[in-house]
Amino acid sequence: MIKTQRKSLAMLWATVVAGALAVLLAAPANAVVTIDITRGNVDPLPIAVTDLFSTNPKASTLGADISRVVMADLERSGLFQAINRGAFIQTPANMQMRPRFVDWRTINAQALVTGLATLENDGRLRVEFRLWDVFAEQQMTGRAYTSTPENWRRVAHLIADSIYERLTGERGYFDTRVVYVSETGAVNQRVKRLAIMDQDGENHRFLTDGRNLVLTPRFSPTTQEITYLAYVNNRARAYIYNIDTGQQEVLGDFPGMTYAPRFSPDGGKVVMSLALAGNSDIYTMNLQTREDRRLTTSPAIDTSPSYSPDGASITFNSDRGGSQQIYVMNADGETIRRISFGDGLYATPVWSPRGDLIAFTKILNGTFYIGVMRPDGSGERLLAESFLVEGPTWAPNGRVLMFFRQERTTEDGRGGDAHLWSVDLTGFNERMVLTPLFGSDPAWSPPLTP
Amino acid sequence: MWGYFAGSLAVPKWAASTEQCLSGAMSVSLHSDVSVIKLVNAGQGKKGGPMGLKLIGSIAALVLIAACETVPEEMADADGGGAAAALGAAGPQVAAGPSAAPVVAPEDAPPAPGSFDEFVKLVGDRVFFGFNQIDLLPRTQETLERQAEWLLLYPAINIVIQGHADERGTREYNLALGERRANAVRNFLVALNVDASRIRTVSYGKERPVALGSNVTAWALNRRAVSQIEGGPAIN
Repeated sequence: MIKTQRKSLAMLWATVVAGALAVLLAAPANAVVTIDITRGNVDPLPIAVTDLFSTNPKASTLGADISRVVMADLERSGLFQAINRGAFIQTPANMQMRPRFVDWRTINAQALVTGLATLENDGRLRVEFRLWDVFAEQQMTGRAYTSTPENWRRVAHLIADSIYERLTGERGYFDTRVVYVSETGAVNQRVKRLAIMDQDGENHRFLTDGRNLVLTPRFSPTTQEITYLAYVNNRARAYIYNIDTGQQEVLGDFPGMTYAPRFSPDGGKVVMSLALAGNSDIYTMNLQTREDRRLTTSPAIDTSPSYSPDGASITFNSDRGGSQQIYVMNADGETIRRISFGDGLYATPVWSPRGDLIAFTKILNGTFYIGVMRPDGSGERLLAESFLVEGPTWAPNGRVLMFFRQERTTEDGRGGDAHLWSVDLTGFNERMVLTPLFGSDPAWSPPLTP
Repeated sequence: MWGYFAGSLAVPKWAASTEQCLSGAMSVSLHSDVSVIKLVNAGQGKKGGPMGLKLIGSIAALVLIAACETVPEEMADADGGGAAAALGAAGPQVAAGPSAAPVVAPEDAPPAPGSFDEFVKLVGDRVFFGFNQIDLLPRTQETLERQAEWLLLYPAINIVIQGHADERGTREYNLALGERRANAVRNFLVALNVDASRIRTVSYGKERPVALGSNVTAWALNRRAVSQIEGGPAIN
């Protein structure tokens, strides 16, 4: 909850957003904002996104499209409220030098986005935008991008990232993609395919044809590769898929099932489970040398490993203590300690890209939850619940989680609908991510532009 | 080969144990083993042979089938049409002449010895587990003893044991659980002298439910390990 006195947007939004979760940062002297950090909710910031202006009809259309995508990105984050453009007083054409701020204050905009779209002689699209603080009457940021016109969506996401970053103080996550498992058919004959799309659901395409069962895809942090589990000829093994070439390669030649693969933060290794004689332990495979290394030796189930972003630790799921819980160990397999001690069962730990939290799935009294806790197990917070929610994945800025939710099935085979959902780390702004078919096992990409 | 079935006095366990089936039929315990009746064309059925004996065998088998078939109602529902539909689709194993007296329906003939069909119907291709359990309950062990005996009779046949879990767990943990279950079955069969090299395992976790419905009955039927003959039709 925020009360913003309309003196200046100045840079308080960063404080608002960060403050919703953590410490209230020192505010710029010219701003007056009070924040109740106990609720963790943020009143969305009113922002006016005008169409990028152009005198060229084609560029004008692209400019309008870009503005629409920018606005949608910002709104979906739950932190911004885009002001209806029907209320705009000043037109894009007559504010290219400098906005008439009183017109924007009148409609309660605190932030304003203006810009230009130009088609250059070589056919490339040049876009520049400016973000204005309406009350302080000054530019907060301004950037220009040049690309092919076909690339306009990425340009839009980069602009949205830039605005988000300037106003929240955190890195944006709009210029990213999501790989997930597309599902169709009744639950007992469901066809699953790897699919990839932009984080807003656009540019959707299938990567596999559904002949083989595929599960749990995860992005490489450094290359255009995905590691995942596939069943080929009744054998379940971890594979690597190259997004650019479409090549699929089995990961190592192990005598048992390899599953739950995930890249190390430097992209040099995959950590995964290997099941031998019914017993699952955690191994790493060096992608350069192809050497594998065993990290756990327990007769219990050890699975769902996930590295900390500094690569020094691994969190994983194990029933070594008698029930399914979350553990953390050093990256060499030493110093294993349990971190989950709440009621119920804990699963699918995934380390935040910021390192400060571990997301998980929890099962308690027949209900599934998505939650987060600190790496020492303290500060557990539950963000979503349902009959079945599972498989959290982090946006690269560590502020937003995506997961999937599956409905109950009836005895005649109806139901079982599975969809992707995203939720803010505060537990607010839960929304469905639209996919052409059912969706599960989402994995968020790193930023497309490092 | 199949002569032992009708003629031999050393009747194998699965053919003699009507009582097992009956007791199974009366129990609707969630954790009980039930013989799944789902007929398919026998991939390895032999043709020919003394018809008369076969018919006698088929009568005995019918008793067995009828007994074994009385599995929890939910199973039939879940299988989508259940045993009756599957029987209809199976096609007759005995070529009944046009004038054959309809003492018994010819399509209910016993599966050929050594066939996939026999393994599924009379031996029992699957066993069941408690929630988050891998323990082999007494009835489970009886089924596996029949499997072992059958596998020892047909040493050329290899199997893949598919381990499954219900939908009430997370995906990767359930893969581990299914692997454990498949391996528990494998170990039991190996202990009964089935050559380990004949048995492969694969876990499908919660990916291949056989019973539909988000309820305890369906979950109990889905927590299973299914022994599937290599090269035979895939049955979940």
